[in-house]
Amino acid sequence: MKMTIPQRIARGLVYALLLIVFCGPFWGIVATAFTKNTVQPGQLVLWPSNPTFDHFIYAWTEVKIWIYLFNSLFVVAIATVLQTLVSALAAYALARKKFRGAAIVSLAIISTMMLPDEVIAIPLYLILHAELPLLHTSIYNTYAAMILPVVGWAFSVFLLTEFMKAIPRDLEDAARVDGANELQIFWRVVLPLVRPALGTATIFGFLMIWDQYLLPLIAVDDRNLYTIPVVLRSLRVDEVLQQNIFIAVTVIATVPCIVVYLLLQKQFNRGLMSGAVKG
Amino acid sequence: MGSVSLHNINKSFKAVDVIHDVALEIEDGEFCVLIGPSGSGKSTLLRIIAGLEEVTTGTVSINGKDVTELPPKQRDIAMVFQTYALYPQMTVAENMGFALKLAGMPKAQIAEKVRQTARMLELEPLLERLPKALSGGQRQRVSMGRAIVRDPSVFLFDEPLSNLDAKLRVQVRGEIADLHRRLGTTSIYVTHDQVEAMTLGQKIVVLRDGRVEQAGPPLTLYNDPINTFVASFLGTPSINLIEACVEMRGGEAAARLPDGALLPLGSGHDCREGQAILYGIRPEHVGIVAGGQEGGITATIHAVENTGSDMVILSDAQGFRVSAAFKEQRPLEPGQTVTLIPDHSKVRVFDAGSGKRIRRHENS
Amino acid sequence: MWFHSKRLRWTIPWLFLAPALIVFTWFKFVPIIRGLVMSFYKVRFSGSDQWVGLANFERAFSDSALHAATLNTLIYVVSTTIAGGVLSFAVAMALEGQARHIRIIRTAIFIPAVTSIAVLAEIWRILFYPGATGVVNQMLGVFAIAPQGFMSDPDQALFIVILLQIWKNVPYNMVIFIAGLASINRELYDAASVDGASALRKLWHVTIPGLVPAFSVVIMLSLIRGFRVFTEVYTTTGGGPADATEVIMTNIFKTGFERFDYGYAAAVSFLLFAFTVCLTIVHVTVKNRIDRT
Repeated sequence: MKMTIPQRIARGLVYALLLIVFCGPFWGIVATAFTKNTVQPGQLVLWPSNPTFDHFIYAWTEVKIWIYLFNSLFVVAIATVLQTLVSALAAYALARKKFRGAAIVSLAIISTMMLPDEVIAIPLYLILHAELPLLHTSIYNTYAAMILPVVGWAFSVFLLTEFMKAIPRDLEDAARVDGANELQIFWRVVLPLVRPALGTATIFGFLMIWDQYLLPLIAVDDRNLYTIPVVLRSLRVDEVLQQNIFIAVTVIATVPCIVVYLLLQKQFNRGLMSGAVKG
Repeated sequence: MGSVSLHNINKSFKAVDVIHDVALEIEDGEFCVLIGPSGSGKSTLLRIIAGLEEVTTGTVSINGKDVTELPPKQRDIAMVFQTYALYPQMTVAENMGFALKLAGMPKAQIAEKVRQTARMLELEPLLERLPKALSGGQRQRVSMGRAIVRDPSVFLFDEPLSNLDAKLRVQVRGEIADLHRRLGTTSIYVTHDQVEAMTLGQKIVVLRDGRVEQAGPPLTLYNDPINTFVASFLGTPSINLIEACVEMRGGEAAARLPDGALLPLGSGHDCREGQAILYGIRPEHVGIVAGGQEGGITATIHAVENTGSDMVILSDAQGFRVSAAFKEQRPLEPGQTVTLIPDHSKVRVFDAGSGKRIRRHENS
Repeated sequence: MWFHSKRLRWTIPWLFLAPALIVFTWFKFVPIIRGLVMSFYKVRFSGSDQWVGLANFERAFSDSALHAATLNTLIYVVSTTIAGGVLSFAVAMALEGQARHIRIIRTAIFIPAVTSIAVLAEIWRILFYPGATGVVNQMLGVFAIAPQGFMSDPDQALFIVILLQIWKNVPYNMVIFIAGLASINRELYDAASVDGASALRKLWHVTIPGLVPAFSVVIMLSLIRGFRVFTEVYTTTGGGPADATEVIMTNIFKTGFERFDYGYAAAVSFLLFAFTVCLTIVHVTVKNRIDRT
């Protein structure tokens, strides 16, 4: 269909409006973070005058934002890998094995999908404080307290289960005839076949864990273990901190998510789409 | 060395019995075809031999060794799947070498074996490709190569040709026969296609509802079927089975057809006056003459199927249908009245109630 | 090897499930049960907890602060679901297609959906800074409108937080709608064109029916996100000013972690959880009924 000139202009305006609304604020904080002149609270600039890296350098060396960035990245990296691995193992059993109790396990796991994490915040807080069975130690105030609670994620288990169910039985049988044992079937045949789904589970897991706010709040109280989302709030309250520097910190906190999203965009959209099409 | 024997195999899923008391002996080097309609248990039986399915009772022996409790990899078998089941993330060479790699064979040796097999199957130029870059026929060949490279005692084929188009199917069928002649490995082949069964099998096992109906060489089953099921399962166009009634004429039995025609059955049939039978005659054993005539079945042609090499006539008699097939071209048209004359020596008689064959006594 | 033994084969699925079962049990199932048990007690720090039966639940039904928070939550849920759904559908219609520039725009406007809420909250605080220097107030100034209080004004604060949620959800929902649009059979449009349908009729008779699964997902996600909203509110207004933006979860958080009234907080949490489960069941039932017709 050929568009008339007014139609083209209208389209262009719609695109411009959408970009301004959804991306404009991000452009604003980036531009302001690079601006030398101090801005007033609530102020953003459209173009950095006297561009400078000073605010980032200050945020890095004086605010020691690298500590929190490291904490966030460390927690998110370990937790995402563990989450995907644990989910894949469970999904293999649920998708490829018939066993007594499978229905109950599925139901128990799916029920946590409807469970808002915030609802169990208080008992979880007490459990993190309590000693773990066998280990006789509490994980409160450790990285483990921020990692282990997010390792079990029903969404990831069910996404991978659905994909693993779709693998033809013949392939599994072929591997069995070829002499593969259960672990080899899982590792060398099933996992490579669900690689796209693993990508999807990984990016959703990454964003979900990166976004954790209440969990670090109840899992640690040592400021040196704070993650970026938690530290942002306490930095904001810090009256002495210059607005530009705070904005620079915000920019630093935004970058990892956007990078991961851009890298794994295809897998991300596939995950959203599987929901939209299947309902 | 690769004989396979099954003893009293039973298999049930929950309350449903899918395999009943199957006993089978397959000799070393034999090409055995398991055939039957879907749901007959042929694939389940093959999977039981492979060790992919457990038996409820009974034993499976390969090379005289009881393997009933052993996993597939300890049975010295290789399998070709209907969907080929090539690992999509591995190249052709990796697919073929996967079993050897799992078995811990040194890399150089694997490469050598894969190359040899690839040469035999003319797969050499494809070794570095992924399965998705292959045609259906090539994939099929790779899946056979994957089986051959392991040099097993027994090959198991699970409908390996059903995903190919008709022309390729004939070609690959020939290659499989060829391969079996060359390697001489015991092969068990599942199919629902009777042409494959007849052309490939040295022994055919016809299965229905989890039971062996009849087992034997192809021509024995074709010429001497034990019941109407086996008779109609093998052969296209399928055998004519005409409801009839036995009339005894001085020790000779004859069949009275619904249209009143009386056709001799010959002496020695174990049947009695008035018995309801099915008069079985294969289309190629039905002669055809134009116009009405005594001593045959008068019928009207309603369709003529001419493939160029064969002619098949479908005709309506009074109350039943008869088909006839022959090689030569004849000027026959639908609507024409003809007389069909069965070759009396080729008639097979079945009991109408049980479908069981009524045999002739040899001595008479 | 052991896993070939018939006797031990049943253990295989459980070995694969074991890691998941351990983390789920310890960090999900145990807290759920513990929370449920706690809701029948008055939790005390010295001495043992005191059994109070249904008192915590009774209190929830007469707690006016909780009622106010519930009302705010309902306003929040309804407006984010409706406005978010309609806007994201409109954006999806505007940005449907495979052209390169459209794909780039789609990727660009997705940024709010992947950014952590804590960051979005800070951006929102900057944009809606109550003083004259705030970005939005400066824009309003162009139209000679006096600087607004926004999140410091009890009358406006809830609205501003709702805007934040919509801002984050629209791109997310848009992608779901785009996927739904892509799954509609192109031939239906052709058939409608042959039948002489106008663009509006195609939208009504082809597009919207084809998007039912997408709408279903979007609405369900909005509802669940809305009822459990915590971080969006906690990081922007903390529930203030004057409790104007207090929602159920921030109320629970304060009851638990500021007033240390664990038993009561657990009881309210449990009510919220039960409600969410009911909502899901209703949703699934309705969806199945629609699917069947």
